[in-house]
Amino acid sequence: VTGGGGASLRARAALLLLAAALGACTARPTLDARVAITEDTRGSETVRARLAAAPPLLPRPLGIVATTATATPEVVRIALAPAPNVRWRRSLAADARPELLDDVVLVPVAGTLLVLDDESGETRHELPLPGRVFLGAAREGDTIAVAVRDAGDDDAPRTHLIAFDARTFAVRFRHDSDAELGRPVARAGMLFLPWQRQGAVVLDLASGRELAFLRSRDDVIDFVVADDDDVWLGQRVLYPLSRGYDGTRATARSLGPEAESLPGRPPLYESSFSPRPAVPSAHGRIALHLRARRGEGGGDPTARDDRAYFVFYRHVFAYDGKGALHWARSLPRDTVAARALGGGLLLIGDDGTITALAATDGAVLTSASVGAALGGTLASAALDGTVDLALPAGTAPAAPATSLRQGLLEIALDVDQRLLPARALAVSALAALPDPQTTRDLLDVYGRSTTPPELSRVVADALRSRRIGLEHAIDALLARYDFLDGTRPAPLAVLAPALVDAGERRAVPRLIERMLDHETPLGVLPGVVHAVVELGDAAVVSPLLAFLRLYRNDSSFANEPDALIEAARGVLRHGGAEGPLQLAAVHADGRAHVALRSAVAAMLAPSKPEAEPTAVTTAPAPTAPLPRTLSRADVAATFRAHEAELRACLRAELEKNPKLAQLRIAFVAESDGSAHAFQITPASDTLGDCLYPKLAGYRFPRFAAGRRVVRHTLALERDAEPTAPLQVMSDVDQPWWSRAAKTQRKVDPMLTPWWQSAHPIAPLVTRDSSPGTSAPSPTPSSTPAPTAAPASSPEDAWWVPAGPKP
Amino acid sequence: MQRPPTPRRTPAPHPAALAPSALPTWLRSLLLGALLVSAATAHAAESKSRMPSMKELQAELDSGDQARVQQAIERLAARKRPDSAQALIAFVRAGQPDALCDRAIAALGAVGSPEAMPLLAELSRHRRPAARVAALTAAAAIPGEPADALLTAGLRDSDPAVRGQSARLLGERGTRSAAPLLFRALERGVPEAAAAIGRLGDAAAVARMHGLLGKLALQTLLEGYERFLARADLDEASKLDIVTRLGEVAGPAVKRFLEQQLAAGVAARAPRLASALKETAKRIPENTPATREPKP
Repeated sequence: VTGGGGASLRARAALLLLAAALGACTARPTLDARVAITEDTRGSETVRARLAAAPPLLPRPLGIVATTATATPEVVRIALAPAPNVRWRRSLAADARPELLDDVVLVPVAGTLLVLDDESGETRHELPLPGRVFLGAAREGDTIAVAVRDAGDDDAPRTHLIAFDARTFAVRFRHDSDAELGRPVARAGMLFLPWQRQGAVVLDLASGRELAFLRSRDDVIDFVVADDDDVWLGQRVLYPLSRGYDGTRATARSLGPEAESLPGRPPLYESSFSPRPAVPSAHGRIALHLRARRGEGGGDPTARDDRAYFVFYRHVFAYDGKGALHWARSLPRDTVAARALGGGLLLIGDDGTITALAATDGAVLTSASVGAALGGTLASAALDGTVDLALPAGTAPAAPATSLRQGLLEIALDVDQRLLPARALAVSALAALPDPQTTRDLLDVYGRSTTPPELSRVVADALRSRRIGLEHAIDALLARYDFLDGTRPAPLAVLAPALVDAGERRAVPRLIERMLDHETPLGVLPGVVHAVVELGDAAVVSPLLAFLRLYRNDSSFANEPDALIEAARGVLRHGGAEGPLQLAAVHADGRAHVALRSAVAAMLAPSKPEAEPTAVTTAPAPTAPLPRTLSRADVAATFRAHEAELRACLRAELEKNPKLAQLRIAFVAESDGSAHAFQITPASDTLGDCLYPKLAGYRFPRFAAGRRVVRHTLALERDAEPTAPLQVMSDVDQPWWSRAAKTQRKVDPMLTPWWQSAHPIAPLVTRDSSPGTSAPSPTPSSTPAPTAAPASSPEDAWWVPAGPKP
Repeated sequence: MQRPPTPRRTPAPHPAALAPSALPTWLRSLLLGALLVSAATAHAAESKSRMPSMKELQAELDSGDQARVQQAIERLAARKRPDSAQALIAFVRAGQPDALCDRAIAALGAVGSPEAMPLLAELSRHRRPAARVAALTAAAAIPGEPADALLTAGLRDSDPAVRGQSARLLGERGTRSAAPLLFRALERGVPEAAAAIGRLGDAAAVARMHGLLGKLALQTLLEGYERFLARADLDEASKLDIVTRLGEVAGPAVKRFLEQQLAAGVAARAPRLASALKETAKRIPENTPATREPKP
């Protein structure tokens, strides 16, 4: 190439190269949300190669930078060596959690990012960030990269990345993006920027040039983190970038417990897209902590020490990499921050207590507090450092390890209602333990007055499914209400069905004892009698018959004869040839209540001799469909019906506490109309003792959907106006009490009341007086009647015996 | 069912009709005595013959007529015989309406047969509080430890009426072993326990009751103190201590109480106590509030 033409060509080529170079430096298509829609993963091999070539990380000393929840907020630098101490503190109202980056601390304050000296706390630089929200920062070597987001536009956030020199504070590069970028991570000379919750953009840390674009095609990417030996991105699963990343789930790895099942569904790591608050919040208080490690020899990744720690305020659960729970521990104070380290978990309590728990068994390796120097509680904290936790040889832990059962029980028995999800988790974990004593523990939790209905339900479910340690359930049957000792009745609503399910015949004598005990709430009595019938044999006929005779004409069962009807069924079932005669004797003189008489007559009605004895309870139930759930009006009406006896209890309480304006009652309502796990607030011992046995006997209308936790408020009035009703607060449109007061409800004695229809035996009562319906067969039959309904349905009470399905 | 026929009566001859005036005085006296005995025996036989037989009473019990059943229950109670208890036991066990059941239980108490204790024990756990009260009341009429055990168990009942009646009955029976439980019941809100303690407690119980001054309602404790002061078997020092403690509490209620005790003659044979009552009552001003009323 010669002459001007050649020069021209060279000049053009040079221009093209320059343009290409400039383009390479300035082009950032993936930082533009619109352009990148069509982009796919590229450059992951570069990332993999750089990570592989990077030297291993050196251990960094532990350090803490925290904010206080005091009237004058402060940023506090806490050093841990040689002993925990406050290195410096400054009165700064941080907008987001400060970050400790080697020798500097970054604190966003009122639109300015303060760069403080880590040793002295003095301001070394101020980076103006007006109208920006600090997302986080990363540092490697002398380069600090800060990600911020425009404030006030959550739908279309515009994010900015600023990289500057950690010593001169000169800006090295800057990117402004329409895309949603997250908190950066620096490693191996690369800067990883979470991108649009779909992946990450990887820049060269020195130049800001894009090296790779990692985009998932089938997953949400919520964080990018750098752990011991790898960089990971993901949300519910981890993608190790050292293996290369092709944008599909093929490289995904799971680690630790199934976070979806944990309270609060904590992510494996904090979201990179959300600012980390400096004020008290659930951030840090509910979190999963682990240190992911690259799998040896290309295997699956593992967690450091094979532990993932779930922290819920002050309760800690330690799982292994497969999700098995190893230990649980309760701490005295809420945790504001924690960090998984080699050998265990380091936690910072809101009182400034720094606690190290051993990975193996949860023993407290060490515990020290800087609380005295704080003058208040901590709001947030950031922990940095990678040293391992270990006790010096010959040193005993500050607090020994407890067994998993003990740890879980301690958590389950916590009285802090904020921590209910963790308590429920502990109960579920307890129920899974094979230790027979756990059954007793669960009963203990259930029986505590501090156990709220929500937790009682979890315990009840757990007890229903347990088949181990049932001797404790049998022992628990001995518990009964005692005014002097302040004991409450056994949780029969839970125990009886559990024992029936387990076929525990050993329980029969105690069940009979409870059947004959007046302190057994009427609401659970049918279940108790049912258990006696189901678990008993011919020996139960005598007590059942005595019970039936004694109460057949007593007002106690006039409105709720279910227990007596169930007893009659038992006599027939276990009485052999004598059974029908004995029942006939009860029925013949006409003294029994109408409902009972009808039911017995139906049982004794001629039928096919080979009918199944249990067929009496499996007849079709001509009842109207149940409501889906228990309405507030139904609850209010039930309380209203018992107003007089409630008033008797409340009168004494009002005398002691005239300012008492209302009483809140929470309980678990079962679909069969029974209720248990009552919580009365505020409750004195005497009021609880008076109310509890009454409340436990109430029956609510049946409903279809399982159980319901009910909260009810009684507005109290002084007895100055004796005729004024006890008001029940309800949020239905019209006050129910005004409706009830205006119109006296007429009850047709011929209609089947709800409490009769609550049980499958009840249809017998109606059939007895309803022509055209066939009576069920009380006697054994190998061929069920053609009209027989399924043995049980979701609407059946739990004591309905199982039978043939259609 | 028809009422059974009343048995025919055989009246005894009047003694005067048979008295020959010619007989010697001593013989006349002897004959007269014999005739009187005979007449009394005949009268007793007549009275006895008016009571229906057990079979008839049983038939009445089974009659289904409430009035006749009630009468039969009363007659069984009046008989006070073991077979009465048996009939009543069977009657209750057969299942009765509330009113008849409770009457029959009370009748068992009137009969007072230990044979009824097993049933009364069962009925002390009857689902109706009224039936439990009746059962405990009946049991209290039967001497022995089983009844004491039932009554102390009644203090643990969920129903305040049952607890109160148990406390009362324990006091009336003087079951001293129940004093600690009665104190627990009193502290837990069974006011009837105060009077019961006053009936059976010793000097230590007096001291323990002083400890409740200011914690429990004064009127409740005064019922206990009243019983203590009325007892002859309690030493005078304890009674004087009561007056002293109440004097410290003062108030119009205490003043009135002390005056009432003086008027009731609790210190009729104890001049020191009488003087203490009088002086203490005099020292308390009319309208000074008590110093140890419990806070509301």
